[in-house]
Amino acid sequence: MRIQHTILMIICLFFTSLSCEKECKTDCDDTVDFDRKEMVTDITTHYILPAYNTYLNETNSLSNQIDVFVTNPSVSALANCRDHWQSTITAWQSIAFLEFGPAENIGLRSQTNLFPVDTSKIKENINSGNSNLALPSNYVAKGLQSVDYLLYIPNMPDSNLVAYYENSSSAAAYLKAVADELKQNAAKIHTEWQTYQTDFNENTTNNAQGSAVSDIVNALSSHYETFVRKGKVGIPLGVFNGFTQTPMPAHVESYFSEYSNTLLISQMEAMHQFLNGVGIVDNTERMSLNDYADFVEAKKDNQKLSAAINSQIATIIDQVKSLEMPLQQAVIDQPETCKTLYESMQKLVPLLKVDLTSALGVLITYQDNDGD
Amino acid sequence: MKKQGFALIIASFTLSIISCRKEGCTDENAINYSTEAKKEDGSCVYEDDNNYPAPSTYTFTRNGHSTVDINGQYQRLDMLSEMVDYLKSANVAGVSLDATTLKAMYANDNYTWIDLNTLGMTGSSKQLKNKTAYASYNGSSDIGVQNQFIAYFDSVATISANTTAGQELGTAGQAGVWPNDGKKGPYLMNGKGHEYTQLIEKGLMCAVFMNQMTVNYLAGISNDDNTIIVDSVNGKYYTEMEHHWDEAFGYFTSAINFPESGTDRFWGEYSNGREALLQSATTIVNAFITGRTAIINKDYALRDKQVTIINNEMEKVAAGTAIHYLNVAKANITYNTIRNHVISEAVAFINGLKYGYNAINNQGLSTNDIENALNYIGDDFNAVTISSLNSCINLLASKTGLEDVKTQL
Repeated sequence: MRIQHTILMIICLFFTSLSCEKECKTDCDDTVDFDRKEMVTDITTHYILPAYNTYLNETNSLSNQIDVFVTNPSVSALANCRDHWQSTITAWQSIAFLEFGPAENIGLRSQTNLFPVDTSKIKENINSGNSNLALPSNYVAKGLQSVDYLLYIPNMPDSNLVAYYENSSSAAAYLKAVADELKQNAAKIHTEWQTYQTDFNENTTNNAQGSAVSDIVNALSSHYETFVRKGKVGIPLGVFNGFTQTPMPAHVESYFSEYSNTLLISQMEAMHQFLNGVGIVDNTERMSLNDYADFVEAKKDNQKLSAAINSQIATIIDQVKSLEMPLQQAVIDQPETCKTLYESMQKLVPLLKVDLTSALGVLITYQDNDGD
Repeated sequence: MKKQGFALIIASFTLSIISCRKEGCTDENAINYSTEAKKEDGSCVYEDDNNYPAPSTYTFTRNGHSTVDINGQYQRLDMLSEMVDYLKSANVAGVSLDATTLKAMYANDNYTWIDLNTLGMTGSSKQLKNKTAYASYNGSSDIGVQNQFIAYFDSVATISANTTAGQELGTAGQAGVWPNDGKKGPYLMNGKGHEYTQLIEKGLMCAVFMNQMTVNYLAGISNDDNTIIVDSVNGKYYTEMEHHWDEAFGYFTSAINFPESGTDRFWGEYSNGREALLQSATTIVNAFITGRTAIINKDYALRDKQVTIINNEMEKVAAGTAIHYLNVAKANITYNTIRNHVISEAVAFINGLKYGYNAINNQGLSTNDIENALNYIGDDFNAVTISSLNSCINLLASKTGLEDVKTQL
């Protein structure tokens, strides 16, 4: 009799609990067992913080070298500036896709690396001598691309460039101001992350909008789709140029130094490193978004999604390496190779934007905002 | 014992069906019957037994006669439409606007309207000016706010008069027609990027349409008579309360079949513009229809519920649209024309929230919050930063329940 009672109670309890099961809608989360906090903490500690640190150090060195150069212009000091500019913009590629939290809050990407740079605005600012770099209208005249122009002004042999900065104190002051602002912005973000990291690492109870995982995935996908695929290759290639699709070589990144291929490779390598949890300082693999995708058994055409993403990135890097000339020339002389490259880049978009997000239950919250 | 046990199972099963299900009206005979609702929550509303079926559109009749007359609101919506068309003509460099004309339009004083819908606008007693910014129901128009709009008319006339055909010279520090920046334009703006057309259009949408709707008619609805047919001899088959409710609706849209139509201008357009995220367009029109049916049924508790819904949703539309424009400004921060154009729209909506019921009655976004939000943007739209725009968005979103959608808006 007792047993019968107990069974009855169990059956009753079963029915009652059954009814309370919520329908699986937006909050549906079947990935509860993965230790998101550990992953996010790993990413923060071993990628984000050291990457910002490296970038800060690079901007400091660049600013110092430019200081030396404008104080006492010489061909060798110019060469030093160029070296440091290259390492700074390479370091930038590692953090360009981290546009959330402190970076998003000041629009770091727009303030740091917009291209094409507006050279007439730069000249105007140099002539006026009192430009306010904080104004949005000056974003296209400052940042790394402005330094690209100022260190590689077209049709100016190095000796002429040295003479230019010797003779124009306003040009020298402008170059210095741009470099200093890069350094200040880097310092600001670096400082803010020291406190922001605590909340960020804790913000991992789910993958809802505003959570750490959602921020990371949205920022990565958004940056890749808009600023890498479209910005670095699509626009110069003419893919977005109306009906004629005429190439726009002047729209490549770092047009004046002709450094765009190297930067595109750096960008893809940095994304690969980030996705696979490879530490900036020690090159050691830790928990990563790809691990997370593996954990939820995300698949793409019978292979792991993580493998599909990695192999697509590798394909893109190989194709960039196969270009025989700087991208600005390749879009004219090797258009078919560039189109193949663009198509490969396009293929990575859905892997990140659709497959990865749906595997992790992340909602895409960014959009192309052109107003209405 | 076996029987007892069986009964227990049945009981718990029944309990399980009742518990943890979506609540709503489960009676198919009710006008607000919900197919999704699994649990009755006492919210069912029934049709009046005699003549008042709940319509799918904003159509109400008594003894075969329509009881809805929103001609006065329709006229005012058309007046603002004509004024906006006139203002936009000056986006072409060399076209100058006449301040006297704008003031005549505002007060409907000796102005000959195109009157596309033949509503009898020319010489009618209806005007925008004397309906601008009531502080309470049955109040009166605020002279200070009127003067603000009149100052806009003077400013836009002045800067338009200084433009030269073929020369789009507007830029930071220089009023004029700002050229298309590759994203949007041309637009007539002053040197700080203030686009008066937006400040006037969105400003009057808030200070007249939203203000009259929420602060005048809906806030005063409980004082209205709902027993006497006003004047059936002269075709006024409605009660005072019905009519005032309809007038509130008329300021939302002149389309009785909204949102099938009426999504082309003013509150109809902007509520529908963010519909996918906020669902305000359908929520508002349903609240108007439900509230009107409640009035017919003299169910005043249900009517008052709809008033609250409408007040909150109007606030959400204005704040949500402002956030949307600020997001556009962030995405286009270096494009001077589109950035200043959308900031002008956002600022007009944010400032306009002052004239809604909630702000006036210290509910939701307060007047203080609105001032703080505007201060984040500042007076010179050329000098906004992403962080100041973010601060503004965060403040608006946190006070209007839009946190979850603020980046998607």
